[in-house]
Amino acid sequence: MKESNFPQPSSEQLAGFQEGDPLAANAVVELVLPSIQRWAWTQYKLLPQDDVQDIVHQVLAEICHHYARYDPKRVLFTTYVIGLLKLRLADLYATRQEIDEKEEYGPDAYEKLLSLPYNDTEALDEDTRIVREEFFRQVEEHLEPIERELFQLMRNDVKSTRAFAAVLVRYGPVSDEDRDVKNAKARLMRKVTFIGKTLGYAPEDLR
Amino acid sequence: MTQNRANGDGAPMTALPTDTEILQKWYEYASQQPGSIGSLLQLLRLRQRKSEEQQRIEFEVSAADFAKLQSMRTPRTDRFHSDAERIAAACHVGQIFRFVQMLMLARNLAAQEQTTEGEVYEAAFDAFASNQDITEEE
Repeated sequence: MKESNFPQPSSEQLAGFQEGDPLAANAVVELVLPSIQRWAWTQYKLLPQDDVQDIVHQVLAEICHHYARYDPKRVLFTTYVIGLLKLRLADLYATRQEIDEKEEYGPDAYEKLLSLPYNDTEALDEDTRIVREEFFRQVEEHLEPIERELFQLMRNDVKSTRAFAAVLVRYGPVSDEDRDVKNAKARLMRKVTFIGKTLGYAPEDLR
Repeated sequence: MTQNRANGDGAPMTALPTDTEILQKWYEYASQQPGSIGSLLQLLRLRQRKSEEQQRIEFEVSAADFAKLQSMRTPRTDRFHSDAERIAAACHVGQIFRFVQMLMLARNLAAQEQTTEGEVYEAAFDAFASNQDITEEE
């Protein structure tokens, strides 16, 4: 069996665990939970901490409930826990991605992006206009040529899908004009929002 | 009560909870699960119309130990009494005898409830079967 960086229960604790002794089960959980919990949070940073914690709890509760399934001769206890955790966390990750994709490509995704402060062109005072211009200049420095062209179209309030598709076609194949344009706009706005945050702009700076 | 980690530049990163906090969350979760002492004590609280705090005071146990106590799995059926005593001692329960008595009472109540549920289910099943017989006879 491989060595492990995680604390391992003693053979007495494991013997008690295998017999379904509640005190031994508690001792084992108290020993391994903190390090496994932290490992899971560190390894699955993209998932919400609470969701990861729930999965860790579920897995440990199930292992304690079906204590006879664990065989210490075959695998270390923490390896057994982590093996099950990885499966569950992969499921959770896939579910989250599915939800994100539905939200991202949903019917109102583009409308949501349009409501971002960068697109609010109504009655800006002079100070805000200067901040916005500076923001756009800085953003453009971080964009790829294709993104810069798309960004210019968006800033000029161009609505035509055909106009955006014309830009995309020059950089690569376009299989579905509507979908590809929508996705490209969504990606661009995410990037712009990210750049804005990184540069320290607050949404109210741009209103 | 959180540990601040630092990256290579010394900049603070997202704080992770301490061991104590992680275990507290676990105790909360585990005590709600079926097959935990918490689930038995909750059944008792409902029957006796007692709060968790009243129950804790009755057993003379600290809040931290009570959380841990409730998170543990119920004693094994073949050594219920001795397991319950060991658990009580490990969780520094003052009224061990009272706790063991109450836990046995809760176990019996839970078993009764299961039997009642089973009877209701069987009765419903019998009623369904006899209805079917009538329909078939018609």
